[in-house]
Amino acid sequence: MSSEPAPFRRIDPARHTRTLAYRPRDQLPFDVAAVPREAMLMLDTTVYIDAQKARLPPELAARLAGQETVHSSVALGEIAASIGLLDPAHAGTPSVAEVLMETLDKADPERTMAPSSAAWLEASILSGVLARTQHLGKDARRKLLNDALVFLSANEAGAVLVSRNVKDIDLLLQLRPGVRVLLYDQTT
Amino acid sequence: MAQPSPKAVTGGRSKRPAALKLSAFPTPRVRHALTFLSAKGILGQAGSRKVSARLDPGLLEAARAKIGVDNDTDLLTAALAIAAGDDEFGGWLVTRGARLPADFELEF
Repeated sequence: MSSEPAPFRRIDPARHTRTLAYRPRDQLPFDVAAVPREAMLMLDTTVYIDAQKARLPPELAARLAGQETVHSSVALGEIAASIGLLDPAHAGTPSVAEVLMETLDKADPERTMAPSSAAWLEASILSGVLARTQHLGKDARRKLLNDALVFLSANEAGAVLVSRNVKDIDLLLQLRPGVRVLLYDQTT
Repeated sequence: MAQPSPKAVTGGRSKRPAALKLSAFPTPRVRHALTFLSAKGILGQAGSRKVSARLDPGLLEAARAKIGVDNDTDLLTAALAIAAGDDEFGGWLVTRGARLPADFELEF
């Protein structure tokens, strides 16, 4: 048995008693140029949606076109859940559902990473600590757990996580600073 | 001059190739493609196949310089890995255009 402490022991919940402040943008990883061109990119759910609304920043779109991408089963699961949630009576549902299903079809299972059991435990502790320090409600807690799962999946895959979820990723990076992330804003 | 046998030119099987060493390929794109093909079980089959082709020397040298390998086996392996195992998802995604309504947000 390994002498390494289990990953979920990396975080000491008792050390985190204050509400974390969001950091200014210049302290967050928004710089595309800082991401090595040989890095694998793991896509957060926002990327699949923003790309298909033509609202990705051009420099990020160029990187996506030329770099290796991998998928998180959690992010793909969020897309799949949305297909189920779409209102069948809404006139726009068939076309939106088709776009989302095409996206899932195109994501190769061999390039899709599921979080390990160790990542699940660590993500659960991270999201539990943040739920307490940030006074999150039940819906926000569930969402943050998914964010933490994608965040740690990227780390396990050795990939850079690409996300527009600036606030939650900021909090996660404050607890777990070593994870590689690229943040972006939607274009208007 | 004797002509090579059809078997030698078009694909007679010979001994198992040495296991691919990713470190032989300096281009990340090639390494990622090989890793993907290996995960799919496409690489590592028994035997190897000898191929012969007449190629433009300028093309060969340009490809060799871009991929950064010395020998023809590594060069063709890299080129075929990109052809068979290159990741196309990012390029596909960013050229889809505005298929979703501007106000669409995931419900989950």
